[in-house]
Amino acid sequence: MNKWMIGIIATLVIFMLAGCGSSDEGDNGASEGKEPIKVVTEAGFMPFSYLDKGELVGFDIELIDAVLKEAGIEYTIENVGWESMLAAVQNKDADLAIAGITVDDDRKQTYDFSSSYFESTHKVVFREGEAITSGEDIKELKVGVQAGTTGSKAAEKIMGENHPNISKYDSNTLAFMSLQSGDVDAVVTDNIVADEYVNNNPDANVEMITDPETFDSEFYGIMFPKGSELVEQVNTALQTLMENGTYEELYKKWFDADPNMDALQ
Amino acid sequence: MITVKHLKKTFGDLEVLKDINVEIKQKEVVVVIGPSGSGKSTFLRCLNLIESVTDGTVTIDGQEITDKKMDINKLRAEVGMVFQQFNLFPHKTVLQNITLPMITVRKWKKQDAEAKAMELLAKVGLQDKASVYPDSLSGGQKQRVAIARALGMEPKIMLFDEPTSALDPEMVGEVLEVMKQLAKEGMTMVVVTHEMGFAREVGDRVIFMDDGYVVEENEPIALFQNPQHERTKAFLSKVL
Amino acid sequence: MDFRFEIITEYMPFFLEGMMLTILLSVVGVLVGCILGFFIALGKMSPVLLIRFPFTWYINFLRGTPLLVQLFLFHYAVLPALLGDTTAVTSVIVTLSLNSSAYVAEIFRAGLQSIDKGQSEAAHSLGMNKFQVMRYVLLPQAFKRSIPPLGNEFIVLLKDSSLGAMIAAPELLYWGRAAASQYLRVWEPYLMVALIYLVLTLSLTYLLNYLERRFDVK
Repeated sequence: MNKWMIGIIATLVIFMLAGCGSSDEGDNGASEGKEPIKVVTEAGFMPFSYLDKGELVGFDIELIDAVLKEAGIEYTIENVGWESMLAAVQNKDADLAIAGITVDDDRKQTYDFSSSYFESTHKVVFREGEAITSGEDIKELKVGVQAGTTGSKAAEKIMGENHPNISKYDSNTLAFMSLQSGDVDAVVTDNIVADEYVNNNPDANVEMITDPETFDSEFYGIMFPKGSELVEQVNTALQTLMENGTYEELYKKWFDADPNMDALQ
Repeated sequence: MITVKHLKKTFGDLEVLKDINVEIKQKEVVVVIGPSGSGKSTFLRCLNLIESVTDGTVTIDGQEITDKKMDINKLRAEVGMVFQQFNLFPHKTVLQNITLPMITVRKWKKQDAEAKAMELLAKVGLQDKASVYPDSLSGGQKQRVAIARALGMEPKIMLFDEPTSALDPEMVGEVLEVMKQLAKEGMTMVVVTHEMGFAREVGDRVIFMDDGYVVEENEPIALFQNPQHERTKAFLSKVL
Repeated sequence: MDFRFEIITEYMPFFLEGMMLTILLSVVGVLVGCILGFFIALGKMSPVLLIRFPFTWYINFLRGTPLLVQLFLFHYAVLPALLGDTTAVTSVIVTLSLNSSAYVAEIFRAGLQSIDKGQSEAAHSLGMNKFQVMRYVLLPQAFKRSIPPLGNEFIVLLKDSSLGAMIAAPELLYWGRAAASQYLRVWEPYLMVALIYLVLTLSLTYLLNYLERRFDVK
């Protein structure tokens, strides 16, 4: 066992050293000051950040544009994918990331986050006829979620962390397909995503419920490397947009609803 | 014993055997000679249908083996064959090489097969090699094992396809010695070879083939000393 | 850069559980793949075109399309239609078995065809029938020659089983992703998972080397 631990540590240290080498470069680049900052995203989360015929679009994309313009910061934005996005911010190769990222304590250990820019509530989607009336009813069922989403956390809050009856899929699409094929009994996901799915699949024979009492709201934040000086500037700009109506306008445009501004304060 | 009538064999467009008519009697040792490409090996391989026959008939022991209804495996068990490249089974020991067909085809008991195999190994002078794998044998030893393996099936006829051509010169003798012994015991043999000494000493008859035909056949001394055809003369002048 | 070992410690029980499933998926996939692959190899070597044809296309399809697509196809369409419903683990096992059977078939075919023609001629000349020639002469030799490429195939299959994470089969990579998404940290879980895969493939390599020597003793 001891030999094993030494081997594991040695391997990991090698990888860490390799990682540090590249992170130094990122630091130098950012401290020049005048250069545009680097924003990264993962374009796999409709309608926050996704690709429309190759074009990066979404609520998050327009919001970060408005925020950084307000703050007077030049930027470039790139869709790099989920893992690369995380690694880039952690290594300070990128200055911030926005991709519908939920803020929680586990994640705050590694990153800094802006104040909340979106409130996410959850819905349970299930096949017609299943007796589900509240969030608690999923306890005994097989539940599908997308790995790493607030829906995943919400289901785990009810059933227990990494509960064997929770299946974490690569995407919401696959979770919904598994609901159809009977692999899972219910899918817990963001209300926005659930609405989108039900609207787009009228023949799917599914029902959905909300249950604000069981499901706490989750909040999305813009993600920065630990100790980033940009957090302050971005928060100030975000606050301004919320006060001058720009935020509300964007929200209406993308979600066809009014934001609950009280929750975001 | 063996009657071949109007045997033809083609590979695609290539006519290898054109019209072969041969009669081989019991206990006769027939040596087939001829230049490479003359069809002598193909002729031999047609005798146990390792090569399929295009046209004509081969009759062995009164049975027409070229008949489609014939049980070909049963025939082959009666006709032993020894190959130029030995073709021993490399994953079996010398003893297993000999007992495998006895057990699988003849359905002998293992002990009986092994006893018989040891007898045969003694006959070819290799009883001390029973438990080794063919890889560790010399070429001459391999060929003697191959002969023992064929004899294990107690065949009525033995076919030899250039049995000494792949051997180093110093090993040719030991193989020919075994074959001479076999001939002495009265085995019916058809031998394709370049060993003219063997043909002269052991052969009852020599068949000279060229270009898919049997050009000439006669007793060895007569054929070698007094060939009738130009092609026979030309060939013999090169090899004798 | 900091490295948080406590994430690995926290998820270690899950990684070990995932490793067990990874081993199960791979072992069953390999065994079924080998048995199927053998018959598919025989089918593909048939001299009759009409028999050969479906086997050829079976192999073409399974080797020529992405494994991930095959997994989705079996999990969401084929198996639900055939069995009524399926689980992620069943789907992964079926997909891996069929996929590896195509590769194994080609390995066996290459192995059989590499055996010198003289071997089957000699066996036939001794009166052995087709089955006996295959069983006692060709297969043992072909199998021995197939061990190194089969070993490669097994290692590939072991790593391919990680695609099961996509449809939430709780194997090794699945738990790596779960840990990564909980903490939004890539290195700790993925390097640990990679290390476990490495341990598994190295063990497999040693096992295969051992087998190869065993079969080579003569």
